[in-house]
Amino acid sequence: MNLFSFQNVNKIYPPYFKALININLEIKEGDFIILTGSTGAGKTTLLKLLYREEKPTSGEIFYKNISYSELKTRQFNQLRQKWGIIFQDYKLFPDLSVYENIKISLILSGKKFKNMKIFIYEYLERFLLAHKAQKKIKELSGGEQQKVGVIRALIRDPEVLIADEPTGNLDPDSIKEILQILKEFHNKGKTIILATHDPIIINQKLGKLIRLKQGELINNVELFE
Amino acid sequence: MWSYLSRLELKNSLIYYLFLLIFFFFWNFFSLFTIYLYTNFQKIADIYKNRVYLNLIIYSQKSDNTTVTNLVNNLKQLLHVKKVEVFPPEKIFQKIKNSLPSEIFKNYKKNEIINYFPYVVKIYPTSFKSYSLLKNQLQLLKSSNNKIDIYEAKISKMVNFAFVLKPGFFCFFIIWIVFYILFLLFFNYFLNSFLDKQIQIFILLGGSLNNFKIIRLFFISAFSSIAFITSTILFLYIANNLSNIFNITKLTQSSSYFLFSNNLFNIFIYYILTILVFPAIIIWFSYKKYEN
Ligand SMILES: Nc1ncnc2c1ncn2[C@@H]1O[C@H](COP(=O)(O)OP(=O)(O)OP(=O)(O)O)[C@@H](O)[C@H]1O
Ligand SMILES: [Mg+2]
Repeated sequence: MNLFSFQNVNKIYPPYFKALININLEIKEGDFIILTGSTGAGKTTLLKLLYREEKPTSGEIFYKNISYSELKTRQFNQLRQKWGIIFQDYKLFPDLSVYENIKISLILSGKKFKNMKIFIYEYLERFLLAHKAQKKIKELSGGEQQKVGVIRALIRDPEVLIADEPTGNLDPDSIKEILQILKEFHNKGKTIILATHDPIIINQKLGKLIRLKQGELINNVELFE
Repeated sequence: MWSYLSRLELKNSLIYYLFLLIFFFFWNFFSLFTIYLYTNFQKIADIYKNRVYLNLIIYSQKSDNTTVTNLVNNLKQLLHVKKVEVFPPEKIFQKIKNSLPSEIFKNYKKNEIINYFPYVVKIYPTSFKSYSLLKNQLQLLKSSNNKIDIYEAKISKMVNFAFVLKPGFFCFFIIWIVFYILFLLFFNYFLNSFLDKQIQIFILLGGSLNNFKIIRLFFISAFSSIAFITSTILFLYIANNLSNIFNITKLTQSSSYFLFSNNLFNIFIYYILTILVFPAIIIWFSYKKYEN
């Protein structure tokens, strides 16, 4: 069974910009999908449709053969709790601290922890961010914010990871750390959908490479495995 | 989590909540005050309901006594008349002679003065409701007789006004409540668009809208309750002073404190509606757009 599938999905941004054209795509459980394509190709749009920040103009998206249009808000929320999403524009709460932003994510994921604080600090340590834990998001640099966005999603140990350019602003060490975690996830059989044009990641040849060009899927899916 | 949500909700929008507080303070004060004025007015009107009357003033020479008697007899035959009292010029003179300037008495004799005075006929209607019917009849009479004038007593005017006021007051109060509901709508939609970004983030992290709705209701109720309590205390203080100044307490034989505690159930309903039910419905409504 497909975890996700897109059937003839089109996305037109009003008034008439075609961001995605007739997308057909199947994602299986445990897949590692790398979505690439030049700037403006529609990668973010495709991911937004996947986590339902946007709705398709036509066509249908399915989660385990259930159409998104049949999933109620509450049901979809419960799905999102099990997912980790890294947004290209970070989407952090600017007035809360690093620690609080991550904690909210963990609380919403519904996971129980003996000592959440230590767990969060360990993760922050891994990304050399522990000393900024009590700083507010708006007091961080762009790269630091991106790290928080990444940690917030990864720390949930999600069943599905949707990552939109998670490495855009990061230094090589952090990218290595993220790659390490992605590989761990992949080995644990989790589903990963990653949009990037970072050659470091693409050259790792981790999963299926899918290319978007001006809103269209180019039909040469490269299998690295 | 609730502490985070509270901070997200309040952090940047405290000023708008203070605005809500001030708005509700005045809205509530004005509501209570109009109800106070209205009920007291109606109470007083009720007390005087059976004492309404119309004055008919008849300008007639003393010798012309028979016309007056005839007229009075005719009046007694009218449909809505309960009682007729005739005050001849002498009586009127007796009543007001002390307030007349003394020069008059130097220049004129008493009889001469009395000659200038009219007959006054007090006409009581059978019931308050027939008051205006009676008035119409008398107006007809007046148009055929130029020696007659109608004079509405102040009390009658007031009672009549109270009667007319009733539907007007209910209309006004409904508009007043609609105004409050519109304000709540505006407040919630404004706050939603102000906090739109963080609502979106929270939803994308898997958070439930209900959490936001509960937090919003909690804060609206909390701020409104503070406004409710303070403005109600201010109202009671002012109303009680006013009642004492105008002797309303004596007249209606109930103090405004007593009135208030006697209506605790109504006030409880009013409180629940304005501070919990209306906001809850409107909050629920305003978050609709975040649902798929
Ligand atoms: N909300 C929107 N309204 C209108 N047009 C949009 C909107 N969002 C994206 N677009 C357009 O859709 C196209 C695809 O955008 P998208 O963000 O999906 O590109 P991308 O592949 O993620 O690019 P990048 O690599 O720069 O992140 C772009 O040309 C963009 O201008
Ligand atoms: Mg993008």
